Amino acid sequence: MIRPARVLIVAEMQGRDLLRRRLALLILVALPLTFYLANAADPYAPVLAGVGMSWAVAGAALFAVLAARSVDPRLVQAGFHPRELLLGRLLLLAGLGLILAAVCAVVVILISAPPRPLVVLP
Amino acid sequence: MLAGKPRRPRLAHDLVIGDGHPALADQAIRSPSHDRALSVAAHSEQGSSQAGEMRQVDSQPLLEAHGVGKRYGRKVVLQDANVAVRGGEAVALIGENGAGKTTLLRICAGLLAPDAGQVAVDGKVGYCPQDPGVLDLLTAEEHLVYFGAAVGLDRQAAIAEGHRLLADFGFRGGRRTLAKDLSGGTRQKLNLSLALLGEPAVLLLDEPYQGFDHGTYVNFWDHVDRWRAAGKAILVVTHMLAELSRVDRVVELQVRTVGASSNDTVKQSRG
Ligand SMILES: Nc1ncnc2c1ncn2[C@@H]1O[C@H](COP(=O)(O)OP(=O)(O)OP(=O)(O)O)[C@@H](O)[C@H]1O
Ligand SMILES: [Mg+2]
Repeated sequence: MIRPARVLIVAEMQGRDLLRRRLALLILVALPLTFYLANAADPYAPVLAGVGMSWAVAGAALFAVLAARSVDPRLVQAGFHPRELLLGRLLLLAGLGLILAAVCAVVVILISAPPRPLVVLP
Repeated sequence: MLAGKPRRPRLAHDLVIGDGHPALADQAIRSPSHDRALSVAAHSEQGSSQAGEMRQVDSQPLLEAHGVGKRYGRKVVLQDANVAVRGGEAVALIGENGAGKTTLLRICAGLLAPDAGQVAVDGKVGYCPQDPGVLDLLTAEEHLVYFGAAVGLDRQAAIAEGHRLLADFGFRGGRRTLAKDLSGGTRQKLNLSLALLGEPAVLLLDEPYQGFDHGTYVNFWDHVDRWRAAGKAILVVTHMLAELSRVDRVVELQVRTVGASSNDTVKQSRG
């Protein structure tokens, strides 16, 4: 049975784990950001920013899964439903993705100033 | 298997038993090759009191593995392994490195599917893995909350019970220290405490005292006594033969070479 409270605990612990990987997170964000800034004048720069942002979230997901792989079986043995682990992790990563997307949108609007921000392609 | 011929593994390991199967246990007990400790064990199994100790051993095993077989590729690790542990009983699982002790425990815990045989468990299982199964970047307290949630404890209850367990083993790690920065023995104390959260009825402990200092090690066996008195079924993997007197029975996983008729042994003791 899936219990929301336990899904939240999974999300919380995943978040704590991820936030302590500061260097990895920094690189995940800095790399696409640099790439975008170097091409900020390009009409397709907003697209670059979007691709870079999704790459950062995917990278974070990879870290999350690699860290959890060895302990997940034990957590399930201890009483978690596998779906609780999956949902908790997705919840955290989706949240992180939304935050990164918002930051990315602000950066793109400020720097590239697309004429119609809601329509990415010119 | 090939060409219809039964194939003998080059090196087969066999779990040898004397428990859960009254006929076998009786056989072992009658065997003249067994020493006095065995007959003491025989009495303790009948539930008689020793040295003023009153301890009721349930008749139904809480953990029973029957005919368990496991192979990795062509390598047979377990063949027809049997083990049963009743409530209020502590059983030691011994054997050489690579005999399949961890494999058997993982199968009992449901972490590994056996190729043959069944495992029946009555009640919640607390499993302490040989290699600490902890998350490097979480603190001890966060582990307590995480594993406590698994057994249905809320945050406060998990922290309270967890700190009590950790204190029992003399855990000394900073509140903010991450698991990866704990000393080896301290991390192992956390590992063991996580297995004990939520009062499991069956304890599967895979060399749980690794890296413990002497005081904690002695203390660990006192805990085994206490868990046993509380009616838990304990299966503990150990290489510490000096402490075998502190368990009810000893089950040995043995290496059996090709063609050997049998070198099965059942050792039993009870201090
Ligand atoms: N995933 C695996 N793939 C292949 N072989 C494995 C695997 N896991 C274990 N084995 C083999 O199974 C055998 C039993 O391993 P196991 O870990 O159960 O031994 P053990 O009795 O716990 O030994 P130790 O006393 O060193 O802890 C070993 O020969 C090991 O190499
Ligand atoms: Mg082992």
